Amino acid sequence: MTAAPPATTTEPGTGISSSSSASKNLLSVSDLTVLFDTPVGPRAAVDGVSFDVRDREILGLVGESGSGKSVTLSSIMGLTRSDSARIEGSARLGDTELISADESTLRRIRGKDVGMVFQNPMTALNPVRTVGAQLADAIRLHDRTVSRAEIRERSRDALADVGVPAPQMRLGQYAHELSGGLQQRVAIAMALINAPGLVIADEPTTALDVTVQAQVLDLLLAARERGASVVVVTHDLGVLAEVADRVAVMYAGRIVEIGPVADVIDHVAHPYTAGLRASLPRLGTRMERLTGIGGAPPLLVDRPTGCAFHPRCAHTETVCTTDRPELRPVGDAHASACHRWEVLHG
Amino acid sequence: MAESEILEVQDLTKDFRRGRGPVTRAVRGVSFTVRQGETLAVVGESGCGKSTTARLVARLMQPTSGRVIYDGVDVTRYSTRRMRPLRPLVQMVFQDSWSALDPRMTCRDIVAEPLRVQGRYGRAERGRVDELLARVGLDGRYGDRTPATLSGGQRQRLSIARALALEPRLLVLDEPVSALDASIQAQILTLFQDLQRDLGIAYLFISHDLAVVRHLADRLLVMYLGQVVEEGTGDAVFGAPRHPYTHGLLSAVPVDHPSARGQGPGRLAIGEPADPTNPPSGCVYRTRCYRAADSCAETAPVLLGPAEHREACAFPQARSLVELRGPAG
Repeated sequence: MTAAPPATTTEPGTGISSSSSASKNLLSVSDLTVLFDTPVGPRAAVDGVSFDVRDREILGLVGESGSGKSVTLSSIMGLTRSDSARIEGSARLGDTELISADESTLRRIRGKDVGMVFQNPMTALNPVRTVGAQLADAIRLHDRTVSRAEIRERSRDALADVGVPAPQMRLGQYAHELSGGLQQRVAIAMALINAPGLVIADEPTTALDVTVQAQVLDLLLAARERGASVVVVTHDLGVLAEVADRVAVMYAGRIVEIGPVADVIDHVAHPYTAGLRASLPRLGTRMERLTGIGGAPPLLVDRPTGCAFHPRCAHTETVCTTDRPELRPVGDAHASACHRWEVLHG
Repeated sequence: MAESEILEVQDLTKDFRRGRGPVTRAVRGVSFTVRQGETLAVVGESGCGKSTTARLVARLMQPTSGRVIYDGVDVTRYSTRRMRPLRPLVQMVFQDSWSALDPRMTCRDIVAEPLRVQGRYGRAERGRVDELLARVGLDGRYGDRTPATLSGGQRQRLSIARALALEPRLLVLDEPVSALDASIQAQILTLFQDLQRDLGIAYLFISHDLAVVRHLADRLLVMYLGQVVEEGTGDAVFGAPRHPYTHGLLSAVPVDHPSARGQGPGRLAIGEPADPTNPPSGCVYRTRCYRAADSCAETAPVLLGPAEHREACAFPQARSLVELRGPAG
């Protein structure tokens, strides 16, 4: 196993160097806040989020609609910049500060140092260009010196790597000629073609059948095997039990629990995480009824005071309605933002 | 047809053809019954024919051949007009509540609409509409709101209230929780259980999510390329699945705990579904099957055995979930 992905060994400008050791963080996000203008004034879709992505780890960001998990990632990649959004805090990729980076720096990083995979593969695929032309674009955008022969070879290999059958033929096809599962594989091939050190996948399996989902998750694991770190955003805790090393649970714009995935499952330290798990039917153990969580996540314009989860929580006390809990250690590399997390371990 | 059978479907087949293109056999020779108060689930990947089956059952689509029988009455060839008095028996809830609800109508009008269409909406029914909204967890405040002001979960509740308005005996639910967040999905699943307990209503539940099917289904059909490949009670099929396709689906579901990673036999369903316009000879599943033999290309297996549990496979093998997914899977 190599210590760093091959393509990031000598990339000037982005600061990701081959010397990054196993303990080093590839990405450090600290106190990220994203404020959107709303009719009632600016509101924080992401509210003081901090986390690290270590070398060769798969970090899962899990949460429901409106929890801020997707906005977190798209803000880091400079994809939420607009007149109605204010982004504060820091996100360092190697030596590069992404939040203040100019557009040309970000363009150099996207697709080269960071590969992105979205829920809908057609977000990434151009309907009127062939698969081959798009893969060639992805290569040439970051390296003008490659020969045509090399581009053809790398494109074919990239498709073969993600298990696309008959890759040579696919190069001449258009996205609409492919099944949903194949489209997602092509999108992943494109995200991985420059061997990025970081892969960001936003709900990459949500619209897919269980068989295809399993194949896509295998691809994320394979990307990690080749040296990349992966951040997976998902609403499905099960997906993270399958692939993630660590998981960060988001609720109402904040991380409410973070830790190694087995710890978060076995020693759950936030009532929301516990509720999410109790919402999921299992194959192995059939429950009469799902305990779940009452109510619904709060709207951006109507966030509760104190702990944002308190109106849905079975353990709420007065302090929960007044004081916002901060993330505090509850175990080894495991933290929870809950005043009353101990009651879960009673 | 037994007294308690609300729906019977016999040898249902549906072909699609675009222009002069090849024929897609979306549903081939599917037969089943649904009894009062039970949940029959249909599970399979995209394109297996489960949603087409739902639409055929709800009479939103005419089958190419086969029969659809509501409460003992063969309605397969019924005209729209003759169907009308029977429509209340079977109602449908769709996955996408956005496109299923008229954005310009209020919640109250949406629930009243089926009553109006059936000529059953008078002054007395206004209270009934509010009752229905309350029954699905939408209190009086919601009556005058429009679907756009509701969350996804609330819109799905509204769809359910509308489907209940005519007091159906069977609800056809086509992926009704697939688009919902986990906590909301759990609430809607619980609502389905409560409604069934209180109203004795039956469900034909279409889903691609095996864990949800395990949770809700009394019996299930596993479909592949338009055909039922395995069927039986939930306990039988999940307890000892026998068709290699069912094995493949179950082995692909993410594990419950990281300790179960890599404990199973790996992915048992190979690649993607075959082309439905050009299905493989013999057993349609053989091109993805981990147990296929040469003889599978020659003879198409048929469902054999008792309805409690049977499969269409020349080489079935009963395997446990632990074998397929590992000890903590």
